Amino acid sequence: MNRLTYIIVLAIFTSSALLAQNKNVPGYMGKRWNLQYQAYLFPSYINPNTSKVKVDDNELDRSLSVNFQSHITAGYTYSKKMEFLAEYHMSSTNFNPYSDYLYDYDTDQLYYPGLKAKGGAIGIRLYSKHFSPLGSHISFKVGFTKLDVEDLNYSYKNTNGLPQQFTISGGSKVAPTLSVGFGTNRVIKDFFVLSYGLDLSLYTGIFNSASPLSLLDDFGNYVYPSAGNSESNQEAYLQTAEQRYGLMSMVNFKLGFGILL
Amino acid sequence: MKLKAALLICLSISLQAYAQDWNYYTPIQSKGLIPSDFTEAYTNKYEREREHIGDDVKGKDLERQNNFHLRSEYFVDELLMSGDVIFGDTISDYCNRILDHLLKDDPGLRHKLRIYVVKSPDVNAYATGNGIIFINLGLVAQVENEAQLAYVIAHEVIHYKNEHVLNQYIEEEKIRDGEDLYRKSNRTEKMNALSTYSKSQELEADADGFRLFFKNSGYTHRAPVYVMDVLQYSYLPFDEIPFDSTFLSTEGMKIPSSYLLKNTAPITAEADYDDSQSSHPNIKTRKLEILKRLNPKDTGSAFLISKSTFDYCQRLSRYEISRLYLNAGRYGQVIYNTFLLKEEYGTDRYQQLTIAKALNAAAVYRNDGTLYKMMLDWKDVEGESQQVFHIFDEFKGEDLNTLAVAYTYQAYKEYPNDEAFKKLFEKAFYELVFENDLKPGDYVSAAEDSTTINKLSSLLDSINMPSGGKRSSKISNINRKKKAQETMELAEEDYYKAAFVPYWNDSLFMATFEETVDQYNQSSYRERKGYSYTKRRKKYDPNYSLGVDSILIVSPDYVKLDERQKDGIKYLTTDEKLEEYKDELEKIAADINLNTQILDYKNISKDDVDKFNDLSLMKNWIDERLMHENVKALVSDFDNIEPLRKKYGTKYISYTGNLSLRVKENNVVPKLIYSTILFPLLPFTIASLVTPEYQSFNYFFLFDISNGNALLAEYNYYQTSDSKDYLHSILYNHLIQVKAK
Repeated sequence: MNRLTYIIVLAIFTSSALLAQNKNVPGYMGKRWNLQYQAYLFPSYINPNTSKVKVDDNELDRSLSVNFQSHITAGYTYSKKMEFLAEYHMSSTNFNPYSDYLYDYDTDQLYYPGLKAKGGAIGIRLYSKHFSPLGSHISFKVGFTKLDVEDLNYSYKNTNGLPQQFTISGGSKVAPTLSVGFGTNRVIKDFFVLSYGLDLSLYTGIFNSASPLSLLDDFGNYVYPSAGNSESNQEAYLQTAEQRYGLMSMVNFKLGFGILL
Repeated sequence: MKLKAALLICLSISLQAYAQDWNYYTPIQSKGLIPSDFTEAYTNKYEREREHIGDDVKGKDLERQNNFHLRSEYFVDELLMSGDVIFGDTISDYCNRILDHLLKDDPGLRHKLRIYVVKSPDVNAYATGNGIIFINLGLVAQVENEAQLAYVIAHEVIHYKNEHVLNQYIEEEKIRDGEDLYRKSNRTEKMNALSTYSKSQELEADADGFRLFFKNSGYTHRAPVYVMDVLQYSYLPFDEIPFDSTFLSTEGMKIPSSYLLKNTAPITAEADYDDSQSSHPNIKTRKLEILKRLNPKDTGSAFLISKSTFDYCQRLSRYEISRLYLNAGRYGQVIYNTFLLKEEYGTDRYQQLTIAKALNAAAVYRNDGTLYKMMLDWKDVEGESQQVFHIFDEFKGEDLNTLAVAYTYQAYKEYPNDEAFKKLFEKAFYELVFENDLKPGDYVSAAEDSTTINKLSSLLDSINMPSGGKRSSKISNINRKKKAQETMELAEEDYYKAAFVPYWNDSLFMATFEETVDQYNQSSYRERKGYSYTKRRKKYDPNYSLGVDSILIVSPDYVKLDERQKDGIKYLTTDEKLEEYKDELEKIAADINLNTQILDYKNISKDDVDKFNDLSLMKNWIDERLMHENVKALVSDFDNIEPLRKKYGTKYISYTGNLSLRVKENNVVPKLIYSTILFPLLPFTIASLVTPEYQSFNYFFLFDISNGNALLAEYNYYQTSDSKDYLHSILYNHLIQVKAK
């Protein structure tokens, strides 16, 4: 059983066991399950969301785009003011692992490598003004996120001016995530639920001291890209991906839609 | 002759039909078909009144007239639905017959008018724009004869005929908007203008009422003048008789003379008071206006319809007023009014029950330390009733509780099978023992006063010894002084201690006393102090449930407010939302299998007057229960409400409502300026300014009418609109707590 499945199963069993004592909790019109799909959105000013490559005037294209994450949440009303929460989330984006030094050299084709994140969390939502699961709430979540980073492929013009392909291997990273969210749930036709709010998450992998891809050897000679796939470059590459994800999940507007059961 | 005989027979039959057994007086109730005023939707009434606005009324005047009807119909509807308005009863019928007589030559006008009686002790009458004249019971209780009542009705007819209420509203609006003559007026000038306008309408109603309808009616022309005296002293009870403290005394407990005032405060009301700020001219001015028109050769009569019916109606009003004072927790007024009933009509069971209820409730409030909220400060009271307020001010807790027990027991002995007295007697003892810690040992027993011991004591007290000789002067003097001192203490400080001597050998009395003491001894400290009883459940206790299967919801309320509007209330939406609210209550209750009946005036068929009366009684009961808050006083109508429990198959009644306010955004410009300076905040400020802000409040009470306990008292504030999802959630939460086991 992988870690995510374990978290989700634990969350559901824990809440069900506790709920046995609370038979009179109303939920919303007796409905206590709140299942939602939530889109997390935030403008991305400096990071790419596409692998599209463009090197023009020595600059990569980093036009304004939107970070996007998908969250599937299951809430169970435990008391009039509290809901237990289990969540699975996934997202994919791209990131920029290149150093600005790169532009001083003869690059050929650069790609923004992709990263995929998936994870799970458990937590609680506390409803301040209404009975769970309606109205404004604050949520606290703790979980893990796993990042899968694809290989970085790029090409560089050799001394003959011909493109030469290089690769830095990708990999995976896992780190705990802590979240605080603020939002509001509204119910339509006593069945559908619409939610909106703001989520602040801390992907703890962001604290890894990401260093730029190494360009120079110990003697200060330029070695990148030929030495690109070194172990330290691989680590630096993954840490850059973590930085990107950490920033991406830090602040998000969320918009959700779901059902009550 | 035959006709007269037939009329007499009819009259005696009708009097018998509504004859009261004064011993078992029951609240005045409506009779006959329910008029559409009570059942018709507010929106329909408003639309109908709006149709009467003339085509020539345009612009601002049209808007004002529209607003007037919106507002006026709403508030009249509120009064009609208050549970305090009655129709078809003896008093309303009598007033309508007077109106028939006054308007016999103007059937068109008569057709537009109807009189309802309002269960209020205040001396007042008023007409509405849609042709209803409300007569307060307080007025009927105080006028001296039918002619005076007729003149008041004639006065109100003019208010309707000349559209005074509408005119007053429009004038107020003009003054407030600074229109026409009021353009340059300051605040004081505007207030004076308003008062002057109102007074001119009152004088017009006095004059035209007299001229058009009263002058040739056959009623005595003195009535309009004399009724002004009634109005002048209307703040006083219906009579001014020195209060006899034996009215509150029992066999063993007399009110000490030190509790009585030597002189009561003089009556200060003057006819020529300063009326510059009032809506009505002073009494002197009004009298003079009428005197100018009087026929010096007055041959009119004080009674044209019936003196006996007038007397009967007046007695009914006065009896009902004692009940109304009880409902309102005005215990001083209850006692004096009931004392007057005894003086006027002789003693009866109803009066005793009323006094027992008042003493009981006052004792409970005294034990709670809040009696001062229910009793006027005696220094603020004028006239003979001041004595009652002074006595209550002097009463210590023990005095009042002992008196409540003694008085109630004395009445109970007279009516031993009476459940109402029994309930009050037990409650009085409960308060005496549990709240005052008083036990039989705290009272002077009959045994100590028994003749044998008394004789022996006096023998021993004697200075002369049987064997000859005397006890020393010192011992004799000390004994004498001590005895005098004890007597004085008992008389003035602990005079209540001898209260139970006459009942000491009554098995029922002592058994109840001892039983209550046993209960007290077996109870824990918490129970004694009422902590477990009053302990508030946690507001969101998930396991709180009552397991009730059937409830009666009494006339739900709904108000939509908008701070941005001049009037505040969104009348039409309020009506619409109220209907939705009732539908939602029924729907959710059905979903959870909670058997729910909603009693509401708008849902009663016109021939179901019994249900109408039940609803009125329940509304009165709820009003009083809400007034008691956490004070554990019995709701005074406990005996009247008891039959409804059987009739509706549940002892649980609920009262619920919702209020929703659209908040006005204040300080818009400063907020924009600050946000512009701190520009990152600007989008949030704009978003906040364009998003409507609401505050709503929902309440739901569930009472057990068998003992008055509040089983559920939910208040929910929510800073959102009253959208369906919020309401559903809240109502479900209330009802599931009622239903779940």
